[in-house]
Formats: sequence, structure tokens, C-alpha cells
Amino acid sequence: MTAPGEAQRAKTLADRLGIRPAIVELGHAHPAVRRVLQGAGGTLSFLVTLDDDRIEALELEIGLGHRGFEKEVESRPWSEALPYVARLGWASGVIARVGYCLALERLAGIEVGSYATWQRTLVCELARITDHLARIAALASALAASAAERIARRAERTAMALLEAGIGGSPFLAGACPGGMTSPLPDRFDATWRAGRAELEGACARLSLLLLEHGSAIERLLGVAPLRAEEARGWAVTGPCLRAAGVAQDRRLGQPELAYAELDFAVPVGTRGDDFDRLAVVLEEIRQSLGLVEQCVARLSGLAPGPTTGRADALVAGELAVPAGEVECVLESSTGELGLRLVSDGGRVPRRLRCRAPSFFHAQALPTVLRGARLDDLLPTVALFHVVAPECDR
Amino acid sequence: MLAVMPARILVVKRPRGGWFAALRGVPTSLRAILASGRAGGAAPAESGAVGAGTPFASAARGRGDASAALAPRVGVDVDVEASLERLRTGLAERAARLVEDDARGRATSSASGASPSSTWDGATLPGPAHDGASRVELGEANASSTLRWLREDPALGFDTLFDLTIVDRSPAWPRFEVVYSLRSSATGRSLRVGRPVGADPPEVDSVVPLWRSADWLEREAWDLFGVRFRGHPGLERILLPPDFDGAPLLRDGAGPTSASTDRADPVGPTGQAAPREERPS
Repeated sequence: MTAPGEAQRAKTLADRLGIRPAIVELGHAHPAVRRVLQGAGGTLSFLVTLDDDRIEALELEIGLGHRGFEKEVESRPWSEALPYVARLGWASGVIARVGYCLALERLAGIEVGSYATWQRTLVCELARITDHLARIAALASALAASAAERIARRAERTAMALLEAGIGGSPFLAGACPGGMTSPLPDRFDATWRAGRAELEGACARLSLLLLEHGSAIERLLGVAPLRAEEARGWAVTGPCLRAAGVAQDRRLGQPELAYAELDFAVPVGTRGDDFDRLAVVLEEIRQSLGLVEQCVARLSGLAPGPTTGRADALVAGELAVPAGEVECVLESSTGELGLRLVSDGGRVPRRLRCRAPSFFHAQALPTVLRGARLDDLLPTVALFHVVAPECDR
Repeated sequence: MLAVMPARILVVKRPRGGWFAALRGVPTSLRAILASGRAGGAAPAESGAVGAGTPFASAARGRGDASAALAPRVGVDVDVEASLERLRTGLAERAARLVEDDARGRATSSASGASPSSTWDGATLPGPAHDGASRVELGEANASSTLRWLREDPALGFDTLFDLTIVDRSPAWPRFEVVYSLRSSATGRSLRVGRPVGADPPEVDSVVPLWRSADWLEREAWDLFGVRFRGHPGLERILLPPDFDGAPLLRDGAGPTSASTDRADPVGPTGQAAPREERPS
């Protein structure tokens, strides 16, 4: 499906040699695939052509979870898109929701207070931590590293609890809204955060020992499915996968949205772009995000939450028409660069929403990255390659 | 802007000699093994022990010093401005050549009579938008050649097709516009390129030979808008099932227009296929 040429090549070769290649379908209902994608909440299907246990060709079927996201958003008043946007990913839906609000506010000329901006930055970083931990749990599951999986899943639940506390509810029901956030941070968030942070830091250290510094895990990761920088650019791969390939490109650096210009953080980059580098980058990003949340919490304690009023309320109430225009907001989501482009013709519904989902590009690059890898490298690579099915399918 | 950028860059340290070397180090110090790995590659590997607690070497620059490390990637290069200026000012002579080039069997139906100057007069280069992206509107006849030039000109180096989408301008004509979002790793510039689709049924040249990421993007555009891409290696539906009928993101099919929609009755028959005669098959 993705690379007709490759499948064709494999077939011709097999015909010439009189060999029938083994074609394995790792369907979306296959237990291994489901387990790895658990937390991503979606479905992918793989058709693998095998030469012995090497992947000769790989076809990916996406779209199994397509729900007409862009069409749905274009069919509803501006603010009613928020629950749909929040379902673009697992925890990364929170970031998508912030991005949609930023674009909408820019289009409608709505000012956002600094408290809301800092709180948005905070929940984005918590969402990144949650998502990355889900990815590591999936990796550990694919490697059958059950201790690491348990640590990662437990840490993911802690991070999700912190995220829900920061948002003030389920990420699907609350979060960013035009003009600010649905609710400010709860009173005792500091204490919750301190306890959670200690636990997450411990989990990071243990995961690093079990996966990055453990001989048998290194054997499964080092040199597997490498992606060079120029290839990554050709496939428009972004986010941790691109940084693992050695490119220090992070949307939070270049054109910072939210409060990133005032925050101190480091951007980890790899050198070879293999699974080892991808995991090392993801683990370090969790550490960096913990530091970012800390800075946000410190800053928020000195700010008073501003009320969401005026034009934003009118917009939510459906009384404000958004002036004609076009904006694009690109945020560094946990998976990569998530672009939301909104077009208004001055009406009460968006004329067009274009969602540039990073997973879509990553899924497209997978067959090339995995060619020649072993079959049992497939799922660890899928876990680390930031392919989130709901985002990919939209 | 870059001068205040507070971020640093950490380079991942890799175990040298693979897992075996790492295993030998297990009883003593794993960190020592990991720290002894080469940073390798083209990555900047200057010393500094900031990452002592992590398996990272620090190629870090401190606060305020990030510009040196990042300038090649995210900075705005004067040469690019010059190149874009060249695109605008050198229109006439370049256009003549490009149109000739394009006319060799690939001229689109409605633009065949367009003179070089008239197609290039439409080229506009407004200043950078809020996100730093400039926008170029291409004439129809020479769009393919111009895109190739944008890809291959080393001064521009637009090596990433970041996104591709369709704008349905109905009832205006030409109805469709393909919008390419390009990125340059050499200069860090973004450029949005609009390309009108004059043919009916809508059809343009594929850019898969130029950017690999165009493969699925063009399939998606075909799937949802019914715009055909000439020369695409496998133009099939990608998000919708193969037996789906119609192109759902068109403005004139299902889905309400904003004029007929208010809060009381916002939802049209979404999810229904648009009744289109030139449906993808």
C-alpha cells in the first residue's frame, strides 16, 4: 500500500527464485499489536513480507480509525470543536487542544492572560510526560521487559493524575478554551506536584537503568531501524524521531509559542537515529519536561488567575463571528510538530481546518526505516516511532 | 529573537562496541561505559560535564549563548531573503525559460495560452507571517518547474515538504489550490507555496519525485478532495475505505456552509459522501 514498488520488487525476486515469500498480517486485532498500541487507543494494521525473519517489505494500513475529524470541525461552531481536537491523541490531545485555541484566538483577536498561558504550558509539558511514558511502556511491552513495563505504566498513571489535576478534569472534558483554561490550578497543586515529581524522577532513573543501560535491552535497541537526518527530512519526520537523528529541531526553540521563550530547558539529540537514540531522547525529554513543569509551577504561584471574559465568552456562546482570515499554529506535540491551520470566511463555523498530524508522516516513513530489520524489531520500533493511530487517522 | 533563546542541546551518548562492551561494564559503572561512548557523527561534541547525571554528553551552550549552536537551523539567513527576492525580481527571464520547460508535454489545459509575464505577475511575496512563513503564489503553467527549482536550488534548499493540502475556493475559479508548506534545513525558512489547479477534472503534477513525504499527502488530497496527481506511484484512497463514494471535504457536497448555519442548527449531514461526478475511483 505504501510502497508498491517495494512489494513488487519482493514479488519479482521471489518469482524468479521460485520462492514464495512469507507474508504475515499483523492485523489491528493481533494481540501483540494491540498491546503495543494500548494507550495510543487506536488501530494500525501491518502487512509484512518476510525473508527469513527479515522484513523485506512492509505495508501499513491506516485509516481504520478515521472519523472525519476535519469535516466534523468544519460542521460545528468554533468552540464546539474542542472535544474533537482533544481526542487527536492520547495525552497529546491536550496539546492539540491548546494549539486549536491559540489559532482561534489569533484569528478572533482574543487576548489571553499570562496565568492561562503559563498554565497551558504546564499542561502541555505534563501531557508530553504522560505520552512519552505511554510510549516507553509500549516499548517495554514489545521487548517483553515486564519490570520496565510495570514501572512505566505506573509512572504514566501518576503523570496522568497530575495532568488531570493541572487541567481540572478529564483531558477530554476540560482544558484549554478560547481565552484561557476551563479552570485554574487547584489550591494544593504544589503538594500534589512535589509528590508526583519525586515518583516520576525515580521512575525515569529506573527505566534508564532497565532499558538504556541494560545489556539485553541495548542489544535489542542499538543500531535497530536507523533513520538518517536527510532521510528524516525527506519524510518530514519531526519531533523526538527527528532529534534522535541528530537534528536539533524543536518548535519550542525556534518559534516559541506559549511561555517557552522564558523557560530554561535542553533539547536532547541523538547521532544515528536508531531505536536506542530514540529511547534516550524520549527519556531525557521526560526529565527536561519535569524541569519545565517545575518552572511553570513556580511562576504560577506568583500569578493570579485572570477571568475569561469579553470576546472569548461571546465566542463560546456562539455570539461572536470570527473575522475572515487564515492562521496556522504549529506546536511541538509529544509526537512531533502538530500543525493546525484555520480558515474563516467570517461565519460561525470554520471554513476549513487542516490538521498536520505528525504521526501520519511517521507512519509513512516506517516501511523504509524497517526494511531489513527483524520481525521482532517491528513493534519496538513502532512504539518508539511516535505513531499514534487516532492522530494518524483523524 | 535567538539571542534570548534559553535552550541548550544535549547529545545522546551511545555505548561503544555495542551491548557486549556495555555488559562488561555492568558490575562497575554503567554510566562510565555510556559516558565513554563517542558522540560521533556530525553532532557538535564539545566538552562540558553538565549531563553528568544522565547518559548525555553536553554540547550545551548556556543561557543566551544558544544562538551560535542554533543559528544554522533556525536562524533567518540573509541569503535566503536574497534568493526569495530573486524569485520576485527575476521573474521575467526565468519565467520564459520555465514556461518553455513546462510546455513540453505537461502544459495544463487552461493555462496554455498564458504568457510568462501574466502568470508571473501574480507572484506575490508578502513579508513573513506571524509564524515566519512567507507565501508565494505560483502561476499555473510553470508551477512544476518552480517547485523543482525550490527543491534543488542549493541556496534555498527546501528539502522538507512539511505539509500539503487543498483549498476549495468554490465558487471561485480556479476552484482548487494546492498549498505546499516547505521547510529548508539549510536556512530554517518556511515557505508556503500556492498552486492553482485549472484543469477540470482537477489534476496537477505529483511532487513525489521531489519530496518523498508527498506520497501519502497526495493520496490524502485525492481521497478527500478528488484532486488527481499525475505521476503518483500509487494513487489510492488512504483514510477512507476503497469503496467509498465521493470526496467528503468538498464545499458543495455534504456539510453545511457557514451562511446557512447558526448555533441553533449547526450540524449538517456530516459523514455523508458528497455527490460528485468526478469522484475518485
